[in-house]
This record gives sequence, structure tokens and C-alpha cells, in this order.
Amino acid sequence: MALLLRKVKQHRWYKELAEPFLKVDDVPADPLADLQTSENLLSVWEVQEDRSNLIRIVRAVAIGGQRIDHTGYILFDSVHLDAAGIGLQKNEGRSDDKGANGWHRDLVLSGKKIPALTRLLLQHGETGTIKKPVLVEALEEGIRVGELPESCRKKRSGG
Amino acid sequence: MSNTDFNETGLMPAGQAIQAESSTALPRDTIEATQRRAKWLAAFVLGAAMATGQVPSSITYLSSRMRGEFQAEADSSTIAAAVDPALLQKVKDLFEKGASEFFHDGVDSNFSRSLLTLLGSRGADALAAIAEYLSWNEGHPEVVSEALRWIAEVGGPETLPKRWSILRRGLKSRSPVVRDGAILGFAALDDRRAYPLLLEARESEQIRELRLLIESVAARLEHRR
Repeated sequence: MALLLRKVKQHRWYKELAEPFLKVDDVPADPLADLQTSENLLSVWEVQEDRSNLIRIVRAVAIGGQRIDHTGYILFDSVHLDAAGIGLQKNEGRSDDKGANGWHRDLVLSGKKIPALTRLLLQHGETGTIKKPVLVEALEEGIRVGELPESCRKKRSGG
Repeated sequence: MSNTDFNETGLMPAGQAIQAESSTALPRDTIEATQRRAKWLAAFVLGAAMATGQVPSSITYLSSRMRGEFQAEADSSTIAAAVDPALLQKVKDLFEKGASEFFHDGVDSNFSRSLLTLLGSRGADALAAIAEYLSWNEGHPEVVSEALRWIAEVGGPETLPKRWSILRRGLKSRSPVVRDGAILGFAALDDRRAYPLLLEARESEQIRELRLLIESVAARLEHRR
């Protein structure tokens, strides 16, 4: 089984705020904004057990945006996917960090499975946010050691 | 023009604490009652001016100093705030329009672009109007949270006390979403002087994820000492 990471806005996933919904077999609607699919696939990344590639993955996701910013994520064990009938595909990522793209995965979803995924993430997920100053340092380090192209530097200020 | 709710101490040498305002705890019912009176007074003044057909652009928008959570800790010496009403309306429109957007980390939005434009063109006046608007507690938490993250990053040392004050009040918001924005705002400032504020916020924080977020930001700032 693998530890999977999805980029989210962390405050949409606070467990205390979700509790009232989960108690009545429902899920809050706000987290759904972080589960936008494309061709019924949801982009996730596989994090190593010791989490040694976590910041590199978040950096790869962050440089895919318009600028480096605080970047929230949710981590969960893929063991929970089977129970929800959610498939996992190994599809190469398309980030500027070529060395990280091998950790990219896709969840195979349908309309009914998205609330199920939301529930399992709220029940079993662990959220966090990598702060912008940390990501800026990781960006500079990535460029220095050749993991990222020089062109990524413009993401420090957007563009 | 500045919002006198802020006891701005100006630029300080690194290592000194920024004292944005004193802390004044007020009973909730007192705050809400005063908030209603303030809105009535503001509407009355503006209405009277409009009735006479004289609404000068520099009309002073009077309001009481106790208008809710963003205001509850205002400097006790403050009696009234003076903010350009046209600018205040612009801020209100901007925040209300922002409520129709979904925000994503690292992705610009119509709201963030408009906010940056406003801060770029009106600087300290815009910050004063934003502080005033936030004191009404009418803003959608997601929008306010997003605004706090941007406010932290935009502007030089001359506006730091104002921005600091807004973020500090955000830390005490009833909304965890707003508190999240304030914590990340301080994370972006990456200024060690925020360390004691964050420790204080951690003590009263009820949401586990926010406590962890505060701890991670504070740990970084502590190492910068």
C-alpha cells in the first residue's frame, strides 16, 4: 500500500468542521472544490514511506501554479481506496521536476465515488501546508542541484 | 489618511516587537450593540449628506471604535475612523464579488488581481479601508482569508505596521478559515517578531490542524532568532 498526496486548501479539510456532516452520513461540500477531475481522473502523488520526497512533490505541484505560494496537501493511505471502489493508475506526471514525475498517480473516479473519496479523506487523511518561504528555498535548491530548470525561478514572483 | 484604530509605531529596528494595538476584551453583546449603533450613525451621516446633495469626496466616514472581532482589540484612544467612503465601497464590492470564486493555492484569482491593483494604487489608504471593512465582520471567510495572505506579501516596510495589525486581528477571528489566512500571512512575512503572537494564538486555538500550523510557522521563526 502507498501513501498518496493530493494538493488541497488545508482549511477545507479540518476534521472538527467535518464532524457534524460525517455523523449524519454526509460530507461537507467545501472540500469538493479540491477534487476537480479531468477525464474522470484525479491527480495524486505517491509519497515514500519515510516521507523523504514530500517537500519535493509539493514543490513540483507548487511550480505548476502561477507562482510559488503556501501549498496545502492531504495525505492518505491507498489501502482505503479499495473499500470505496476507487482505482489507482500509474501515469507519469507533467511537472517541471522530471525526476519527480515518476511518483505521479491518478485516481479513477465517478460522480458517486467523489463523496466516498471525500469521506475517506476526512476520516483517514492527514493535512498540512508547506509554507511559502520553505518552498522558495526548495525552489532555489532544486535549480541549484539541477532538479528544476532555471525558468522555474520566475515562479518566485509569479508569471 | 489612516485608520486611527491602528496604533502604528512606524518602522522599528529588527529585534523589537511591533506593537500594533493594545488588547481590549469587550463583552460580545456590547460589541454587537455598538456595531449596530455605528452602522446606524454611519448611514445617518451619509444619508444626511446625500439628502442635501452635498457628498464631498473627502467626506469623513464616522463609525464607532467597537465593531466586532477585528475591532474588539482596538486602541482605547481611538474615537472615530476616517476612511474615504468611495474607497470603502470599492473594498466592500471587491470582497463581496470575491465570494463567488473558488481559491486555490498558487493560483491567481480575479479577487487577488483586483486586490493587488487596489493595494498598488492606493497603498496605505487601501489598507485602512480594508481594516475598516473587516471590522464589520461581513466578509466571507474564504475571501478574508485569501486577502490576509496577499496583504502580508504586498507592500514595503512603510505599510508593515498596518498589515501587521490586520493580520494580528485575523489571528483572533472566530472563523478558523480567517485564522488560517492570518497564520499563513505571518508565515509569508517570515518575521521573527511574530513568534510571541503565534505562541499566544496557539494557546487559544481549538482546531488541531491550526495548532499544528501555528507550531510549524513558530518553529521556523524561532530558528531565525
